[in-house]
Amino acid sequence: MLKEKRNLMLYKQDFEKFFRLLSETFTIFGPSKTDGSRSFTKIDASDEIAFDYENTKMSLKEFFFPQTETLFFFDTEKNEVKQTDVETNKHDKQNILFGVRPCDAMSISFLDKVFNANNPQDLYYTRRRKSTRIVSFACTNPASTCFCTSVGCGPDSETGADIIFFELNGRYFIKTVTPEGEKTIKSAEKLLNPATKNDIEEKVHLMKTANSNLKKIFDSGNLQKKLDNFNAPYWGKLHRKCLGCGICTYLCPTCHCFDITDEVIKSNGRRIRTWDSCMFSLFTLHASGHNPRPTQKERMRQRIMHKFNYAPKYYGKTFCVGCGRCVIYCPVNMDIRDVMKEIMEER
Amino acid sequence: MKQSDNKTIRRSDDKTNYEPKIVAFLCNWCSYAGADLAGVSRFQYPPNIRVIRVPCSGRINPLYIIKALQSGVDGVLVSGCHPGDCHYISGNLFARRKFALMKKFLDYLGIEPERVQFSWVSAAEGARFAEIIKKVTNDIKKLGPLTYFRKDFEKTGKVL
Amino acid sequence: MRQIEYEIINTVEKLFADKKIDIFIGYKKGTLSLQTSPYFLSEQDDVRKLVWNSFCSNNLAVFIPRIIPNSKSKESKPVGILCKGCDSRSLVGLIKEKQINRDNLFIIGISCPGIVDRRKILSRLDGKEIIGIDEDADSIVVKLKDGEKRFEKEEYLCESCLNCAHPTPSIYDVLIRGAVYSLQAITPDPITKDFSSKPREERWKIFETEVSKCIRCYACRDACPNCYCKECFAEQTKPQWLGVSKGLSEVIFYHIVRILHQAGRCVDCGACVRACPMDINLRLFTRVMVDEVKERFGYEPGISLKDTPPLATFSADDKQEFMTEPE
Ligand code: SF4
Ligand code: SF4
Ligand code: SF4
Ligand code: SF4
Ligand code: SF4
Ligand code: FES
Repeated sequence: MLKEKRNLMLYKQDFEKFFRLLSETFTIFGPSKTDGSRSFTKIDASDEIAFDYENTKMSLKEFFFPQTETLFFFDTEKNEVKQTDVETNKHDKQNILFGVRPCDAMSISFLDKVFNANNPQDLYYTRRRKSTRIVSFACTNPASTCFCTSVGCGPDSETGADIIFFELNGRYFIKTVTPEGEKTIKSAEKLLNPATKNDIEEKVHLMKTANSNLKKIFDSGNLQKKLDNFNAPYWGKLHRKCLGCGICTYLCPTCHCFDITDEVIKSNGRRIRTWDSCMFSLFTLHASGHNPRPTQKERMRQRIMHKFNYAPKYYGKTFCVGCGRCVIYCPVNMDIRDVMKEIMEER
Repeated sequence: MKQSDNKTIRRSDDKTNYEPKIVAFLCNWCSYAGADLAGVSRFQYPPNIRVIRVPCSGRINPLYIIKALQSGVDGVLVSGCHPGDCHYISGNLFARRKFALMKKFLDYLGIEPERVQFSWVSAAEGARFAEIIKKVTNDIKKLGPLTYFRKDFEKTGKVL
Repeated sequence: MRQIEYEIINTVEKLFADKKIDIFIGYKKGTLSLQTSPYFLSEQDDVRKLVWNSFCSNNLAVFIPRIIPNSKSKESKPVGILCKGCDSRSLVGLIKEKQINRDNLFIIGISCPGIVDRRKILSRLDGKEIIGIDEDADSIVVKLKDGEKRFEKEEYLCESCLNCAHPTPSIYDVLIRGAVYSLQAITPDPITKDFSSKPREERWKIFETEVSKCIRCYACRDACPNCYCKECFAEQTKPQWLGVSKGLSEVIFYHIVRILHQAGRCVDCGACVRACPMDINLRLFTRVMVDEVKERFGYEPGISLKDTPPLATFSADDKQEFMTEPE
């Protein structure tokens, strides 16, 4: 961690220059206007960035943990294994993810706990992670589906970010969070001025308004205890409208389940790691035909329990950052906030 | 159905010495026997087809055809007994309905109709079999290799 | 609208009181504006939470094979379900294909004025937050922080509703009549007709671009009542037809085969389109099969319990102009 976080100011008219200086060293990805901020895409000029986006449809996780990851290639005739670019570290580009929402930044810090732990450490994830800086953007105008403050995140949360931007009147308030963050802006240092007391006040005020727009819906601490009851009666009901489509988990920034399979075309093969979802009926299906989670009831319970009970116990964090993606895109309007409320109200 | 017009931009330039790979699903009782007869009678036809014998044209699931196209063949021919002659009486008549819809759908999506063809060939029609293979091979030769949804590793995955 | 809502509530209340049903599937208010959510209720739940409005978009028939898994069984009490035109058509398909038993259903049919496409409305709001919704017979009023916006329903209906030939349920036990738009259903659908007239390369390009957005969540399949297979080809492992990667080739394969599987079944309810999180215009590709089945075999799925599904039968003189003949 950085000994002293710095507060800096950047005039909006200098942003274009700032962007160009950064893009000399880094490849910059952000929410782009061209794809309707569906996902983070490569940004070539500063005016392509959609600053006013709500959350991107696809979360940041696909950057470090893509839906399909080739682990290695093999040749069954030559009896050979070929490494991928990530394995051979040939992908040594430095990237910036720019304009990340604080909830997404926090979600990456959770994925770090899963993939970037000491033992085991996931090579693919960590290599990508190491070469990427996260520049987040505080939310001044949260969406109606955001509930970050209920799960220990917030519109100005710094966790997971290297640098965080606050949009003030005519200028950006920039806070460096990590040493990598400091290094990232080095080349643009001359455009930045230290923040004055006024600037800080303006920022504090701004975030107060944003925070007050976010209702606290439930307390994730109590929830964890409540969920210790594995056989609670509500599990028999909650799932009924769920289709088992897995949208909620594919779009969730913290869901990280995967499957590993081989693909072979003639003698060429590859081993791939692909996203999987606890909401799928095949997820726990054994080769014998037995399925320990035979119905959507057990699957729904797994999803909720993993996020709100197991993860807090194991990693000390609720694996939900309140981004609202599962709320917006669920085809049957299974609203996780409602599910939580229902569980909390249960005696 | 309208066969793809000449104006269509060619999807592949590499057609010099190009020999298409074609999978032919032949029903055991008629078309396979027809193919056999073509061989015994020494009718010449292009060597581009790989025959897969099936019990009846009614056994063909459109899935097989799509899978073949995805796996690297340039065209597919399905052939069965003439209507009325099916060993299982009506397998080919059920099949004809599926084929009709499939043909329409692939054409609608933009896949050249010549890529997937259906025919009736009886056990006695060795010459007809050879003629059909010639036609199908020529059609697909003109189109060039089917590359636009063949499975290959390079096209998949996104590496940062 | 309100009137119809009352009628639904009263009918359901009576069904419970008369011990005719133990469970009813309808809609309740959603947590997002412009949306409702499927509502499973039993006697002790609040019937007054049932709603009926222009956003009752889910095809509820999808739940029936899930909660009554055995088509042969005769349950002690039927399951009550609210059905729009298309929901009932899906049920007809399921009954005909022996997935469910008609006797296990108590259908409250409702003649449907069409479902409003929330995405169409959202696209007109420039991301502004909705504070409230009002609905009258012809329009939706969206209240925003800085005023109101009125949307004429007829312009904002889902594509499939805009060309729906049978808004009144084809089977029901009780029918609640309401206004239906006197829309003239057109075959082929204008959208497919327009697509067909594009050059071949362009058609493929559009198809490819659309499906390349697919994340393979299979929500389109899961939301479709007529995709009921216990083991879908997409997930079969012996043999494995489809790879699991996100590659374009796999996605194309999946969509071609799924849509072909729905040929002759698809009732053009639009459930798959609305379920897709990536806003893929699936109807552009599913609808063509509906039209083709009608034109070729004179068959419309879900209209009658009597006629045989088109691919489960044949006629000796089916057209065969597409067959290859030697040159
Ligand atoms: S998105 Fe909704 S319907 Fe789909 S699996 Fe998740 S909760 Fe179930
Ligand atoms: S569970 Fe839902 S709200 Fe929470 S992080 Fe995942 S997608 Fe976002
Ligand atoms: S719902 Fe959409 S994203 Fe999901 S599998 Fe279907 S087309 Fe693909
Ligand atoms: S394929 Fe789509 S439109 Fe057709 S019946 Fe299924 S969900 Fe409805
Ligand atoms: S796509 Fe085909 S195999 Fe899969 S569920 Fe639907 S009908 Fe069945
Ligand atoms: S046996 Fe030849 S088509 Fe049925």
